[in-house]
Amino acid sequence: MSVQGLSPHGLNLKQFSQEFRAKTGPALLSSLDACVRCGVCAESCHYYQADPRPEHVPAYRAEAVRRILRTQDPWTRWFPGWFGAEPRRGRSDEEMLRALGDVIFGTCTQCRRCTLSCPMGVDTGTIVRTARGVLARHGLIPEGLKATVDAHLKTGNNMAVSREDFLDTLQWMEEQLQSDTGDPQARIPVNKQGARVLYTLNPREVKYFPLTILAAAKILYAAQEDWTFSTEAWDGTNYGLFSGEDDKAAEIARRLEAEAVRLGVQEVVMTECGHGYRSFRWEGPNWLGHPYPFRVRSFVELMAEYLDSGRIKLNPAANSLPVTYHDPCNLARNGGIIEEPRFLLSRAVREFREMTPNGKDNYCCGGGGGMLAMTEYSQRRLQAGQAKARQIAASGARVVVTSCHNCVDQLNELNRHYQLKVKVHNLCEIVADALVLAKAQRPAASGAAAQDA
Amino acid sequence: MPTIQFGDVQVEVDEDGFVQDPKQWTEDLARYLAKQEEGLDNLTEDHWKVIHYLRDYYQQFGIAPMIRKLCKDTGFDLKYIYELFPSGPAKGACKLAGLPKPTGCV
Amino acid sequence: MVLPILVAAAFLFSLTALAVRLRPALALRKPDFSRPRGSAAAGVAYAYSIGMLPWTKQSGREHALAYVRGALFHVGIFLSFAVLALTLTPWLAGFPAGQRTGVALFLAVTCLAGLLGLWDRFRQRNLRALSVPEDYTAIVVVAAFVGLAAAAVRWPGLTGLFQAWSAWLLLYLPFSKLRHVWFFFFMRYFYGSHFGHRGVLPHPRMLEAR
Repeated sequence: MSVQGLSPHGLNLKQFSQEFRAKTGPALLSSLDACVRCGVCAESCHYYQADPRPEHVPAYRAEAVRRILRTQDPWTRWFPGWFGAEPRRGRSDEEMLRALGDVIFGTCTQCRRCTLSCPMGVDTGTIVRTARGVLARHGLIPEGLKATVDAHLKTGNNMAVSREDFLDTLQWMEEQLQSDTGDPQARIPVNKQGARVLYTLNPREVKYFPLTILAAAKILYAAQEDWTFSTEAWDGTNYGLFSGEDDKAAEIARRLEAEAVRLGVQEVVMTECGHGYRSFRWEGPNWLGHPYPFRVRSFVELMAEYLDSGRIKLNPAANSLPVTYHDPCNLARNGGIIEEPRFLLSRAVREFREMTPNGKDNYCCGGGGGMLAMTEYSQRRLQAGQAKARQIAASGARVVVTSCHNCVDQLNELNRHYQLKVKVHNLCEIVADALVLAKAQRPAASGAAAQDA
Repeated sequence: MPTIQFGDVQVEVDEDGFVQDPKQWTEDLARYLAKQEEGLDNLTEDHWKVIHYLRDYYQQFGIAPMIRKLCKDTGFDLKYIYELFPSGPAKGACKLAGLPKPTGCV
Repeated sequence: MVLPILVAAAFLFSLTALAVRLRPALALRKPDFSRPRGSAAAGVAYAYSIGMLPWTKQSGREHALAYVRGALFHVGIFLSFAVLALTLTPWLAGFPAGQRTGVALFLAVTCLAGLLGLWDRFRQRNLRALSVPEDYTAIVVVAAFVGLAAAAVRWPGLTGLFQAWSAWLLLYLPFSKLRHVWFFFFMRYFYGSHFGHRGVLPHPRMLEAR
């Protein structure tokens, strides 16, 4: 199988190599020369855990890219086969690049678990992302991934939600918030100039799962936060991280940055969206080439700060079933947010059970790297989630909590596919259900509780 | 591209099970998908109300409706929609209604 | 006198070539514009110390034998370079025969460790699929280097052969996967500073400082 995309018009091996090298930084160039193909990274990959084939060894994927680059390496061009350049085997450049596309789009979620396991620290996830970007620039990109990036650039959010629909949904949730808190003054503020916090969303919350908006609003209400949404830039996702297209990723980040500056906020808080957080918090300033004039945090960090400083109070009795936490790769391994969710859960649920391994060493759920948007790889994605499914089953938990909407979707699919019989929730839903509101109004069933009912 | 066979009809679906050509959709196909994808043995009147609403909306606007619109126009509350379609509004209801897979994290 | 000059020239060539190879990487260096959550310096310190201990990584735990074998081989390689340097001085002959035999035996063991790695490459399915022809020859070239170092320590008459082979190794190195000897140190630095900056290594903290 190869990537179904447009023809990589005019892209040949030489150009691929030039564009790849032009995009790389020092860590990446070192990653090309540091790997000795020792293969000890094998078990670190969830694809390999599910199906232990040589093709699923992380180094094999990075080699797929390096083999193409070696065809153009002037240092070893005299004996290309000897030094490991990709053999032509009667194929055209385009056929060779299509085969590469299938490997880098279809068998890596860029979770970087292998990087932590590598004796060198080779960054295979970034090799994969960089190669994706070169192919994507020339039209060789799975349709679903392209459509998601394009929708974001064209409509301002990746699900093409209109301004009216967005506001309508917020109003709906505001009415819910007022009824749940018993406070007719409870608000979901929009476009509030000078608010302290600009909160962002994943469009799937607005379009299909608005209860996480309600849960977040309830927590922000309880903490008496000065916050706002923006109608101009509310989507915190950035599929440019997955397509590897730095220019498009930068444009998406630029719009959110500009809106945060326009509103004069002190910080932008990312909804529980793993890749959105990583994109805007860590990669965005580097795509743009300058630091932001405001702070960026995940909502997980903000909730932990509220709890730590006593701005919210939680009652664990609200969540009595045993709970485990799935560390999203982009929060934990790629952002260091590991202690905060555990601190929140220790106060929000009766019984917490760790998966093994966890934290920075946690296995990817299989849904990362834009896999949910690439329908051609769905079967592989479900299979690759096997390691995670085993971890969940072994934990004995009845509820799986995570801080990434993308992970939630994949975990729900794993739940069905592997018959795990668990409930999957965002962390903010669990926290919202455990909230003890100051005015003594017990929150009515909402968030996690409503979906469980 | 995988296909599914029910009766003597062959329908192309993507690897997530979304029907490729919305014109190929029939009520029989919806029943078949309900069983295969959602584990629902039979579709109630309320299921059909949602499915037909989604199809009408899609035919008119070329996009799946917001959950907000779905709730407002069918009169069902959010909780009930999630109950009707265990895989959710996108991967459950929209799939059964023969709508294409949405972009983004679903 | 010809051989020591050749070795020195080969060494200079190797070093220059590796520097040239690394130059584009360093030229592309840019500051990380994201606000730090942890400390890049602490991450680097970790990457060069605790982070290299095999039990801190899944790869080390699951491939403990390969780790030990590889580590042993690399100790032998660095020791062989020390031997090479000594052969260029008059001091090697000054060591007592017993000590020289001991060192030779140790080097022979590390050489064997390297050759066992070659055996693994033939035997294991993953490694066979991953390997390119040069993976096999690189081990042979280096194992021979270590083996000849052992021989030269024990039998000084073989020093010429050892030096000649060393010169060849040094000339070959920049074109080969062996250049990882150089890139390893840079890779660890970039790895440590990246994950240190993000607060992932050495250990996560509860809340980001303001």
